[in-house]
Amino acid sequence: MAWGRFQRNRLALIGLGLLLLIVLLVLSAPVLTTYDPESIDYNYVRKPPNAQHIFGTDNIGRDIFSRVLWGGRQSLTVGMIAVIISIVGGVALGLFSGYVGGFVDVIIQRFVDLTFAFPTILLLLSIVAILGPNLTTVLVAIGLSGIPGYSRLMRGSVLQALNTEYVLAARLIGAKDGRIMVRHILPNVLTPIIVYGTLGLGGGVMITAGLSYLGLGAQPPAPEWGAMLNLGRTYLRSAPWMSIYPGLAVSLTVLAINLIGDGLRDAFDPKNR
Amino acid sequence: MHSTQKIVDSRTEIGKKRSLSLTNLLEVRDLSVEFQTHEGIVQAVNHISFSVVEGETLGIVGESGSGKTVTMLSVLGLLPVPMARVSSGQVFFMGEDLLKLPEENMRLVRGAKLAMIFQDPMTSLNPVLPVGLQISEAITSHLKLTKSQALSRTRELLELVGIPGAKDRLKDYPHQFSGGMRQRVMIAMAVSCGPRLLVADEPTTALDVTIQAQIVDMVKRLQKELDMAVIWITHDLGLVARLARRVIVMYAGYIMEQASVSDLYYSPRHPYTIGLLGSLPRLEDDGETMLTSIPGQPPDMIGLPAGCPFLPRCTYAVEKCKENNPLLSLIEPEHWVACAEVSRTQGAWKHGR
Amino acid sequence: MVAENENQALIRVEGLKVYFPIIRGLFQRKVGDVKAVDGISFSIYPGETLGFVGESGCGKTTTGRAILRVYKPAGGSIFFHDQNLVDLNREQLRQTRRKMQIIFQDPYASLNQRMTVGEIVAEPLEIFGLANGSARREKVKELFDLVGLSPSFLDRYPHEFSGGQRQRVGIARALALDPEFIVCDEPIAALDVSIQAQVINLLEKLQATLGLTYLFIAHDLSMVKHISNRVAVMYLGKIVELTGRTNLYKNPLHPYTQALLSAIPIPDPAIEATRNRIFLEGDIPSPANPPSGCRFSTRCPIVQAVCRETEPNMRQVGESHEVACHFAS
Repeated sequence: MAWGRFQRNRLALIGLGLLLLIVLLVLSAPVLTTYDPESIDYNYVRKPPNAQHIFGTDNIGRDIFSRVLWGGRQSLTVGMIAVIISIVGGVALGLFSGYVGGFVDVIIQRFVDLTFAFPTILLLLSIVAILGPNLTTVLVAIGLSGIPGYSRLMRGSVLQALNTEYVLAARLIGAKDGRIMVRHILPNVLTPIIVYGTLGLGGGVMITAGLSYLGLGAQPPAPEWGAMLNLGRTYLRSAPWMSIYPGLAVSLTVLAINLIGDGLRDAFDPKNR
Repeated sequence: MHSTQKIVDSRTEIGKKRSLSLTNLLEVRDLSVEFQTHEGIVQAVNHISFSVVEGETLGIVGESGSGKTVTMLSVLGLLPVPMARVSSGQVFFMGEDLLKLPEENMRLVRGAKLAMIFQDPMTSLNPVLPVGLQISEAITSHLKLTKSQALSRTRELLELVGIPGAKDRLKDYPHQFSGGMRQRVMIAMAVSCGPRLLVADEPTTALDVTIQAQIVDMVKRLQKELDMAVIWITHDLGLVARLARRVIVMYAGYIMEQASVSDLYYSPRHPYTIGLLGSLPRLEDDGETMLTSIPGQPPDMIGLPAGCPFLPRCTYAVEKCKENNPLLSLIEPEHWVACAEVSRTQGAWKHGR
Repeated sequence: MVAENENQALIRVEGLKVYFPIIRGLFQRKVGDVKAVDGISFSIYPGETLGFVGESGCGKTTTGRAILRVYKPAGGSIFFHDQNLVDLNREQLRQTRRKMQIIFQDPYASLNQRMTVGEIVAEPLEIFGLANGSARREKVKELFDLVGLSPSFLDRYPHEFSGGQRQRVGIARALALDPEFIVCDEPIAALDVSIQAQVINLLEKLQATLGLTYLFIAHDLSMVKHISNRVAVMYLGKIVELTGRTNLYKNPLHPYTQALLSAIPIPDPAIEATRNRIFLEGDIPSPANPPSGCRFSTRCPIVQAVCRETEPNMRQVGESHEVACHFAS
């Protein structure tokens, strides 16, 4: 039913197609690329795109095409795992907080409020500062910082669901709390999570790139998109292709994910029924 | 009371009618409305015709999907335009075909000569404006009165609809009134310019029964004082018995039976009407007899097959009901029934007077 | 068939009070109570249908749910088979609930849209471990049959059904645990007229076959009278009259009951044209702020000074006829 509506949304389908294409390209990196992303070749330094290096080479002769594709693996994986951490943590926390209610809920929510009051970037930077700058840290940082958001979302849906008659009906036929949480509340509150999770994936990819751009994420010689952008900064005039291609990669990926997310949100919107 | 005589030729589409109508305030002819949905086209209203004379009360009875509300929305030009389309018919109101009227002219008719009230008063009342202002605005835009004249007329109207302490309530906002009072305010607004016809779409359905009785009584009183015709749309057959002089019963976008109120309640002839009346509990009954229920479900309006839509639930159904769409035919003065087997339902209803 | 012997009452409610706190302000202080049910007593006998009728704010739905301990009463007792439900702990309550079930008004909101109707009806069986595997599926099919639904519908979702069919699913679910008592909370209010009779007939048939006891809550007095043996009329949290259905119609004593009866539309034009109407002035007061003395005093056509000072108690005025009014006789 919702899938049908999604299918009718042309932009969402374009987004889906684009993302699938990107994922396909990234997964086929071993097959499509002829150069190792980290292999240096001082003979071909800062060469513009040509037949051999379709995206050109960087300041130490590495093939940009290969680096974009291999780098994609890192960006996408980190984005995805981070979002999964956020969702799992957020859902569990929100479900628990909303269902249990009372004093426990109030305490947890005040704690969540505190986290929200912190600017996300500072939060991320503090985590990175503690754990040291590398891609794994970024993954953990993004993952943890997303938990309060999803927990809020989840808690709201749980509170709404608790007021419904089908939950009351479940209680009256003898269902215990655990069953109500898993069987009745969870399936009905997953849709907003799916939508925001998808959009969050895009955010994850972007923040990963962003942190790496700041030098706090992937460290050289890792071919991560953000790190590539950082490197390309110095050579913006002389070798713009060093920045254009990774930049395009990030933008298109995030765009595709956002289109899908918007499409999902519209498809699930009960007002559209 | 004026009367109309219509001769319906049931052999052609819905008929060539020779109407010898005398001062029909509203005359709906062969109206059909369809809706575009994702799953297909819904024939919400099918070639219906009826009329209302000055000062009379017509009841339109139907369940969900019957098309009763869509019919009146078409009359008032309030159909949701991209989705809904009037595919045939004319709606004559005081001589003019409303369907052909451009929106600016329609706006002059609506409110001034033709008014509508709904189930939820909040659809007509603006929650951020005081009610006195809303009503007097309606008055000043249609009638040429000064502001103070409009204000005093507004107060009179609120008193007319039975709001206690009307003078002090002009400045109140809609949320400061109870449900029943809000409905009265909406009625005051609707009749403020003295419309010739008031269409009431289930205005008391959401109200408690004692409040409903007050409102119904008030409308009857207003009707006499303002010499206003009323079309009352409802699913409540009890209400119609109190209010109307004539009744139309609709099902799946068709008119199934049209009769005077006593003919309908004492000698109904359409199987659907008979079934409906039978499924009502009666206060006088000792409760030992079961209600007769109509089997089956209301029809799915998408992809309705040809033939009579009541067929799957009808105890009188025969083969030919599958092919022919129900056409209204006159079986006795002022009593029309759309049923091929109407001859068999004579005397079927046992609660006659 | 209906035993009126006090000792054999299936359910006995004494002085039931259900209050909802009104919370205002920055510090979420309790400023008062909505006295939804304010001290009512009645009994329900095995095999009978007790009807509860009244308008908005009267407390009939709250009463029905309070009997099932959805709310914790602010006062009073609810005896089920001589066991006070107010004293039970969570687990005991859960076990007792097997014998007391509910049918809701809204056939859409009371079913989990993400479960198939088969799963919905099977769930009570699953929870209490009655029937496993194929036996469970068989039992669900039996229940479907009992309520007039085709067993081929088992794997469909609620949104694929009409309102009347969904209501049947709700009834099947209520029957799954083989209960003795069912609270019918406005079960037909959301249904089309032509379907209402179907569901009422089904409920009556089930009561006869399975020996069920019903508390039937509705605002439609004609329907309540049709299905009930006895009827209680509620107004603003109190019962104002309680008697057999024929007696209620032929000999209503409380002015509110009389007004209610006169306000009900009757599908008979001749009767409608000539009947005596009693019009009540004004609106129904809010249960957060009920009038002092008799709650009906602000609208009563025969109100006297004493009515505004003292609240009338329910008193016996005839065989099986109780009224709460100073002047009814």
